[in-house]
Amino acid sequence: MNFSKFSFILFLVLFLIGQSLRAQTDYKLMSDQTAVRTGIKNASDALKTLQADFVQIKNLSVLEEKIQSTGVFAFADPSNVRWEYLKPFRYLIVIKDGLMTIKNEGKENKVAMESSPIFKQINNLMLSTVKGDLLLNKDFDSKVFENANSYKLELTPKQAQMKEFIAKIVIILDKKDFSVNSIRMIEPAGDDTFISFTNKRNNAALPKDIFVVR
Amino acid sequence: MRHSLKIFLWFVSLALINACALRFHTGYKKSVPFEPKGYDIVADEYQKLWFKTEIEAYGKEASGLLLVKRVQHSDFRVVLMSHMGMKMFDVELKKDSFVVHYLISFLDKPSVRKLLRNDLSLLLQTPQQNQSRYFVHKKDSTQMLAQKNDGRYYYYQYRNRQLTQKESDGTCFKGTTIRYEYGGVGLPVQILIDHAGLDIHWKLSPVKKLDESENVQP
Repeated sequence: MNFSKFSFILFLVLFLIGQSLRAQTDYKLMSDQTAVRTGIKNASDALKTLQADFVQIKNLSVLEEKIQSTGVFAFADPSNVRWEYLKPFRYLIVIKDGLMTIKNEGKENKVAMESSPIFKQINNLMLSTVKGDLLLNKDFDSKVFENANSYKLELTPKQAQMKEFIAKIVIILDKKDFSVNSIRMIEPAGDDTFISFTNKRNNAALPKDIFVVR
Repeated sequence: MRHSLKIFLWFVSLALINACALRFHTGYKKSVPFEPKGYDIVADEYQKLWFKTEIEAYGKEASGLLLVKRVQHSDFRVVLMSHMGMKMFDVELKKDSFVVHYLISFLDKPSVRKLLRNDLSLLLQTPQQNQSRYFVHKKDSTQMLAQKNDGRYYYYQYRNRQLTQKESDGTCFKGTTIRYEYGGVGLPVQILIDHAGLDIHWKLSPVKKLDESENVQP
């Protein structure tokens, strides 16, 4: 094989790899959200339980490096949630029957969601985010993008109170089942929290005591 | 009657003068000057420190991670965020100013800003070179340095070359106390901040590396 033939094949291979990568990341704005909204509504209604592993990456403008946490997540319809951080620290949040229990270094702290409108608002937001149905929430302006494998939802809060915490939420949904691949919460000052979910198990049986704090 | 009133006023004046002066702690005697040395989170070798942080305020608790980053020699950026990544505050302490870059809306009150400024200033403060210093010591080899700065009194207590306590007093009232607990040589394992007359307590535990996993059960 002479040099020009080799160069051509190399160029072709690199071009094809580039196109493939572009197809995975390049999103196009969807002018009609109807089909996505219907898909999300159906998937959300069908979702009874969810378990996943998660990686959380916090990006602070004041820091060069990112702060990574990992853990496991579980959800059961209608509003039971378990966030368990395993690294770098063990930290547990369980929300069941309107009561949030935080376990940190052996100490338990309970907060009734009704007693704290802010906790309630944040919890509802997190529930909608992990279920993927935040697009259906009228408190957010939305833009929907798509590529070959996923939908990207860009949600901007309308309420002034929510705008103080969050400038924008970006959710990546898997096109196959409308499950959430990742969430990015961007703060008004530009710092953000990115959470990606792996090993997702939709509607699998959950351990009986998963929402019990021990 | 008039004489009694004079004596009473004299005692009240004396009490006020004492209360507003440098407090000489029980058991301490005047000491020869010493150069305050001890492991401190403000030491130049620490450019950035993380603390697992618990705050208790009037029966309510919050926890998260506190970042203390040196911006310049005596300027620090301090950020507290929850374990879930929500930023609670982001402030900058400079030599002559306190800048609030961010304070979560439900905490954004003048009293909270003042508390943050006072507590973090004391945490990140070292004895001033250009101010008068008073030195005392106790039999158990505890040394204390006291000085007045900007109308407040500051007390730095050292034992076995370790900073064990910092206190700040208002001109006429007791203020904030920071206690340092050690597990050996090096950084303290725990820093406790308490306030006279306020049910607000901080507990800071320095973290060596954020990627270090811990086997502490939740």
